[in-house]
This record gives sequence, structure tokens and C-alpha cells, in this order.
Amino acid sequence: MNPYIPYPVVIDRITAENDAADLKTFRLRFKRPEDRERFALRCGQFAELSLLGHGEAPIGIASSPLDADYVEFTVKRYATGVVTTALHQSDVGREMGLRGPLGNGYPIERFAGKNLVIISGGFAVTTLRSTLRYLLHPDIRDTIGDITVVYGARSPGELCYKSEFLEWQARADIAVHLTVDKGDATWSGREGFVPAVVEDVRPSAENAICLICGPPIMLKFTIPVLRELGFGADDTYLSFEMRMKCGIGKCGRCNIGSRYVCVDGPVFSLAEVDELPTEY
Amino acid sequence: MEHKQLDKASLAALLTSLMAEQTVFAPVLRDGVSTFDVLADIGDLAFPADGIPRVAPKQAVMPRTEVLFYYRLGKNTEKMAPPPPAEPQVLFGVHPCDVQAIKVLDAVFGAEPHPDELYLARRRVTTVVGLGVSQESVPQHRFFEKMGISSMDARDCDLFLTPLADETYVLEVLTEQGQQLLELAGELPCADAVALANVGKLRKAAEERVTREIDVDVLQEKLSGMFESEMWAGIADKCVGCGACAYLCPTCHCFDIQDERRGDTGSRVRNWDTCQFEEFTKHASGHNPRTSQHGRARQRIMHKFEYGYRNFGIPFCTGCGRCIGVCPVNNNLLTMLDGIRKSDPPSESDGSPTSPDEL
Repeated sequence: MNPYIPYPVVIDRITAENDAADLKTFRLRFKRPEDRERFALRCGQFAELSLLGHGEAPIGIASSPLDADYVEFTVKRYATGVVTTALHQSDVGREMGLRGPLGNGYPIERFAGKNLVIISGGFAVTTLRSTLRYLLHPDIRDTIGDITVVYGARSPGELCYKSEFLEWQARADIAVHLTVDKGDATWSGREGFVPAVVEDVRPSAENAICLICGPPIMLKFTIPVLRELGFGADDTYLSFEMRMKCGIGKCGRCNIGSRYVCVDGPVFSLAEVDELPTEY
Repeated sequence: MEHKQLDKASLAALLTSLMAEQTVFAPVLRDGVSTFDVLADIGDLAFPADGIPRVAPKQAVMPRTEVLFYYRLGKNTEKMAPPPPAEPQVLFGVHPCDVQAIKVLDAVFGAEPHPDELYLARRRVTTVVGLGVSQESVPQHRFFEKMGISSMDARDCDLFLTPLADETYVLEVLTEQGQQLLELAGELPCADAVALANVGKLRKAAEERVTREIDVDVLQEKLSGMFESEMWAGIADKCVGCGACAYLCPTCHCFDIQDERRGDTGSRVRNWDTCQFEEFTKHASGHNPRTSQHGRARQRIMHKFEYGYRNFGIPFCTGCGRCIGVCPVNNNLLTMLDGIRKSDPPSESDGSPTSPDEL
């Protein structure tokens, strides 16, 4: 099978995620229902979004594997991003392509019986939103221990999946700590950067797995906090972004050392990251 | 396996019958440049003296531009169609070091969990006819013998052609696919004992020239501790970032994917690309993990002798020396490898001074 031909999909719904409207969630439906089954995704995987005539862009999957009918992607529009710009100009009903799922995803087979600590900043939260939707599914929730979430954004208007997170915050079976760098009149929650909030919340490392995804600056200051709290390098997982084209380990673009982010990643344990050259 | 004997006329007849049935790639002169390209006329066949054309056979298995699929756009609709299936082709007269380069491409494109069926389908219908080269003194920049490859090495070929001094040729049949190709040409006489003895002598002499001076295990071990080495800055100081080394390299395989559109129709294509260009790793956000030529020069060497070797167990360099021959600023891979081999092992110190001299 030609690995470069995407599945045909249709844009089913578009949701603006932030005040700046440069973040939108696209809900895609497969034109051929059997393709949804072939597209057997894991939390933390990504896919190539294809717009013919424009190209492809690798984007993390934001919906849960258990969202049976559709797949969602939250896409940031960049002025220099040919595909993301064209996608943001698209309307519901447009046909496009989807190639994947690609990459390894989070180690969900390790989650049973563990406490989960999920930390994110900005719109890097997408694949962790997929994970949270999965973990909170009635069939899954009872199989794991406590869930603690720290999610931060620059401002209240930049928080993605806001209503969903507020709903989760009200639940008893998950501790959600939302924070913004700077609040406004609408905001009564925490203010402060993610590393400081993690330090304040002090999630227990006991029997825990930590998933962390965010901008480099957040990672830089949060990882030492996690190490101090006792999270092991084998129990802490990061998700990487790199420029990609093929997504299948051939084109040579996303290498960090001998690892291909598109195939060996995008999720790496902190122990694996410690072994990588600092070229990311 | 069988050995056939040919003279000039029967070699021409063989090529004529192959060209009637399949696309034949062979060393030809294109605007005076030795290029492994489509053989349109038997008169164009031009084996370079050392058997290594400037432009490698890579382009016959991994075209410079290749259509991944075609498409047609409508109002809000998209239709896609795969390219036509690969047609059988012959690579005629491939130097043993270039045969090993194709093995590198096979390893990369065949790798699980996503074998590249587009590459593999073309490869399955490609018959490789190796070329034995008996030239005793190869140009200084060629170092395949230091890498353990003999110029008479028939490994991984379907057929292997050895030109002899009396202007006759011995053609060894090595695989079923090779045998089937020869059947297109009709009966060929078997090689006589004298010709076989001559091939044996050439092979033995060629094998004696293989020094295996370059120990890739040693290079890999050294390189694994050299990410922060100052050597890269020294190389990059001269490098102009033209990427010619990667374009001529028979194992470099990085590519870009682009949409080419004309009105409502178009194709998605892959084009050769190289890690030597700044744009190669630049994110849409503007972030670039490899901003310096220093990092890009390092990536090229690391990929060939550390990362690629670690992942696939074969060095991503065959010693063809094309990169040395083409570099406009005389950066020399052999010299670099020598520097790496002689470099000090990575220091275990934490960077704090260990003697008064370091203060």
C-alpha cells in the first residue's frame, strides 16, 4: 500500500479555542466508515493533515480513541504555515486528507493501577486532552488511581477546551488545577506559571506516572521540580514536536540523534530524553 | 551459478534486447558529466575508468522527483489516484560500492513499522548488474577499499559483469532474477576456463587491495561522545552549505514533500533534500533545532557513521569519495574520519579544573 495517500475525510465541525482565534479544533469524519477502524489510534499519537494543493502538517490527535465516529485536531495558525493557514480558512463540509495515526503515543499499557499526573502549558495540551478524555471514560476511569492535572495558559482567553476543563474541575474523581500567567475580570482561578503551580500542588510521585507536554521554557523549569518531587526518569514522559514530512521514518527530518521523533516518538521517557543530544 | 562470456558485439546485442523490454540505466555522459542515467542509445554507454560515475545510481531507485500520487480538486472535494505501478528496469554496470549504497537505501525504505511500498515496489522490479573494476590504482579520494569493499565484489548483485583485458566480458549469474533477465537475450555461450581464471585472478588482486583501515565500530564509539566536539566548528568554518556532498552521495536519502498544482489538478511529489540546508529542520513557529552549519555538518557525519550504523548495522557511507571530489572548499571526509579516529576519548570530568594548569 502506498503510505503517502491519505484517508479522505470531511470537516464536520470547527470550534474556535481562544480569543485570538488562531487556535481552532477541527472535527473530521471519515468518508469511508471502514477507514475509522483502520485509523486505530492511541493517545499521544499524531497524524498528517493534508490539504491538496497546499501540503501536509503533522498535528497531535486531540480526541480520544474511544470517540468512535470522528477524530479531532486542534491547530494553531502560523503566518508562515501554509497548511495551517489554508486549514483555518476552510469551512465545514470541505474534504481533506488524514494520514496516520503516526508515532508511538503515551504508554497507556502502563497506566492500570497507577496514579497519573498530567502537566501541560499552552496549546501543547492537545494530546493530553485526548488522554484525559480516554482516562475519564466510564470503562477506563476505575482501572486507574488518582488523576492530577496542572494546565496553564497565558491568559483566560488562551485556555483550550475551556468548558471541558471547567467541567472536569467540578468532578470529584479528578483534581484539575488551572492557572493563567495573568488573569482578567472573568478569572477567579490561580495566577502563576506552571512550574510554580506544580511546586505548590506537590503531586505525589508514589506509584505515579507523569505526562508532560508544553513549550520548552515550561519543560525547562518544570522538570527539575518533578525530579525533586521524586518522579523517576522512567516514569516521566514528554512529547516532542519536530518538523516532519513523511511521518514514517524515511525523510530524515525529525531525527534527534539516532531516534526518529515520528516513529520512536513523539513520546519519550525522561530517561530516554536524558540520553538524547540536545538538538530539539 | 552460471558464467556467460560476451564479446563487444554480443554485449551490444544483450543491451539491445534488454532495452527493448525494460528501461536500462547505465553510466553515460550527460553534457560531459559521467552520470548513471537512462541508456537511450547503446553508443552512449561510457564506463568511467574507475567504474564510479559522478552521479550515482541512486536516482534510478530514488528519483530526484517522484510522484507520490496525483489529485484533482473540485469545489470542496478532493480526489486522489496513485501513480502507475513501477516498470521493470535494469541498472547496468553498478560499481560494487554503489551496490552497497543501494543496500543502505533498501534498509531505510524497507524498515518497519512503515515500509515504503513505493520504493520497495520499484526495487522489486529492478535488476542490478554489478560492474567488476580491475583498475589497480584508484583515485586518491576513493576509499571503498578502506571501508572493506572490493572493486570486484559481486555481493547483492543479480548479475555481475567483468570486463577482461582482451575486450571480452564475463557475466556471472547470481540470482533467479538475473537469470530471468538474461532469458530476454536468448542463448549466450558459457565462459571458458581461461576467462574464468582471469576473473578469479582479478578478484583475488582486488581483494588484496581491500585494507579495511576504517573501522566503523571505532568511529561509532568515538562519535557517540563527540556531539559537543570542537571539530564540527572547524569543518563548518569552511562549509558553504551548498549540499552538493549530499546530492551526490549514493546513500543520502532525505527528502521533502511538496504539492505541485496546476489549476484543478496536481501531484504530491517527493524531492531530494538535505540536512545541510537551514530550512530542513525549521518549524512553522520559527524555532529551529539546528540553526548552525556546525550542527548540520555534524548531523551529516553522525548520521553516516553513528546514528545510521547504530540503527541499521551498516555504515551510511561506502567510501565512493564523491563528496570529497565535489566539495567546493575541499572539506575532506577521509581527513575528518582520521581526525575522529585519533580524537581523545570523551572526558569523564565534570568540567571543573583538575590541575593548576587549567585554572
